[in-house]
Amino acid sequence: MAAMLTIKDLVVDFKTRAGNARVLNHVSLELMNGEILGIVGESGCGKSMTALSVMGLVPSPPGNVTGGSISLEGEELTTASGKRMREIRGGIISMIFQEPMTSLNPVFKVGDQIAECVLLHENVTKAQAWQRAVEMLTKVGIPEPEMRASSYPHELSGGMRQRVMIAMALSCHPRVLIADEPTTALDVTVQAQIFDLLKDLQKDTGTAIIMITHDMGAIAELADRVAVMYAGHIIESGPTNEILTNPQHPYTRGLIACVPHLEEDPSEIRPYLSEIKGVVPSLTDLGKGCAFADRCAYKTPVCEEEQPLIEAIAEGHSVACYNVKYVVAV
Amino acid sequence: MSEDALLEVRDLKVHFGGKKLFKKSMIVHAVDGVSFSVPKGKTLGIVGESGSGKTTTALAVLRLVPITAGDIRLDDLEISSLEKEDLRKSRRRFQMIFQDPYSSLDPRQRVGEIVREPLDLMDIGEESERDQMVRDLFVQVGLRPELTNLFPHQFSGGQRQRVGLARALSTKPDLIVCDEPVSALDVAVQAQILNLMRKLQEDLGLTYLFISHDLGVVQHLCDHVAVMYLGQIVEQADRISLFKNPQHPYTKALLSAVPKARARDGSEERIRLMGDPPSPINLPKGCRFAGRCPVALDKCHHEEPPLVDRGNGHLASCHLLD
Repeated sequence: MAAMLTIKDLVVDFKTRAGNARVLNHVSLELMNGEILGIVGESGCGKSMTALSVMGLVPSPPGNVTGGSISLEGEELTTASGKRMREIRGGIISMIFQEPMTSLNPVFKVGDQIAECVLLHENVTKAQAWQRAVEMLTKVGIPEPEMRASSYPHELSGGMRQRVMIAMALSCHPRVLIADEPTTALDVTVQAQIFDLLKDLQKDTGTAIIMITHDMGAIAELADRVAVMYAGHIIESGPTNEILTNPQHPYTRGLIACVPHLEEDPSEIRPYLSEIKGVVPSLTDLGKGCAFADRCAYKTPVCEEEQPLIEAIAEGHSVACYNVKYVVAV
Repeated sequence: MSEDALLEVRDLKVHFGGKKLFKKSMIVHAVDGVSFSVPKGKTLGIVGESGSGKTTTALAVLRLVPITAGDIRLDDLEISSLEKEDLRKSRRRFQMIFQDPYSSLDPRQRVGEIVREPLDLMDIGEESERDQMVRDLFVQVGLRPELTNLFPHQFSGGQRQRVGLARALSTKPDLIVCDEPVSALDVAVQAQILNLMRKLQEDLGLTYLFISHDLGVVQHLCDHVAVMYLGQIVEQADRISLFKNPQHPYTKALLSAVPKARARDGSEERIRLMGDPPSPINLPKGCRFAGRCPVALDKCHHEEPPLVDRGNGHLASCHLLD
């Protein structure tokens, strides 16, 4: 399968009063044609910043892409002109956000908002664009789409709004869809509906999806491959089932173990949850060693010397840790 | 389980709205006849979608919203009939921790003052001892006592939630109502706070009323679980019985909607729930879940099913179980 989007050694710095914060530190990722790639990590790990870099939306100042490349089927995006980026955004790569209420304009009908996107990218009349909006609303499973297109965002429920966002994002048949925590603000039953919808649309249109989340459950549900981020680094990546059943990096293990998973057959005895001790380090004073070293139970002297590079340990499974073999043995 | 109950709520109703000039009266049935009890030292979890009335139930227990009908009793204290000064004084026995650790702490107060304020208001301990009491509370929730002079913005989300816990603990309450206390936190921090809450419960014999939409967290922390839908409890049981043997179709759908963080083998069959819950203003006739229920009978649309014991204290309201 060919790579749709290739991110290589991407570095993004933010100038802050406390000093330079390296929010993305040599991030390399590949998004294949028609796959769903999950990016998982805690707040501040750089997962949303990766998405914004691809969209060319890193807030600047204070942010700056200081190194690396993002290539969309061979076309370099980090140096693309503003005009070209506007064509790409919404046309070839589009994005859906976490909070569907704040990302829709409250004073326009949802149909107009979808039509605006179509008018911008394609040579169509207003009536055709509106027709497309209605079509898209039908596609994402909104009942009575003709009527709903004339609704304002506040007249819709959270799940409906997120469907509108998805309809808007897909209205120009993008090749890549970036979903940044698309279901975090929604109830589980609605979340399940949105997951089903994304899966179905992905199957129909073949759009490649980058799914950003903090929820390993969402990853298990949707993603084909997953990349785990910590403090601006990708510390582990691989096929979803492999990462879930055979995580190698101590942080990935901690992340999976610290969540109370819903059991169908819960036991009487409830052990305390395993914790990842300590807190996420401040990005302005990262030492030269592994960013996770201070919280790691397997730390060795070399971990404090240099950030480990991410290396393949099996087919498609890469880890950035000096002590992989040791972790495996435990 | 009412013998040793610390908190007992009977037929609680909270309705909002009423007659409007020139308009049809619109009454929101936020909580509509809810009964439960929580034994001392245990945790009752209330789960449900947004709009199910779980937060309103919690607020009503704390007397933070006007109660339309029903009784709330905490040990020997009839909370539902307390007024004014009696109510204020009794608040030391029931405290709350909030969902958002950012908006629930006053940004202009030092965290030490935030934790000390209830002590001053409730006149607890000698004035000269209160600073020491605050430092002790900080240690209890795992914060260094020298941090009392800092402001909330200097803390991370997890630390702020610890401050919120210290504030709730300061009056030595019997009951702590927790409204989604970990849903705004990162998973690693969430584990730390959940462990802290369990440890405090074991050490101090606290009773929690725990509101959450996260079924994994509820299963981990709670001894009993009540499932709410549109202002009513549709199923209630002890932790093992509810998760192992869910009875109500809504509970089953809710459990099946939770994404499982494990490898897929393609065998999972998910119950798909369509649409959203109906509005609590125009309640449907019959069972409130009937419109979305995958197995609804004709009867369900006309007759409201009662919440009855299906054996061993496992309550569920569904015609299909009769």
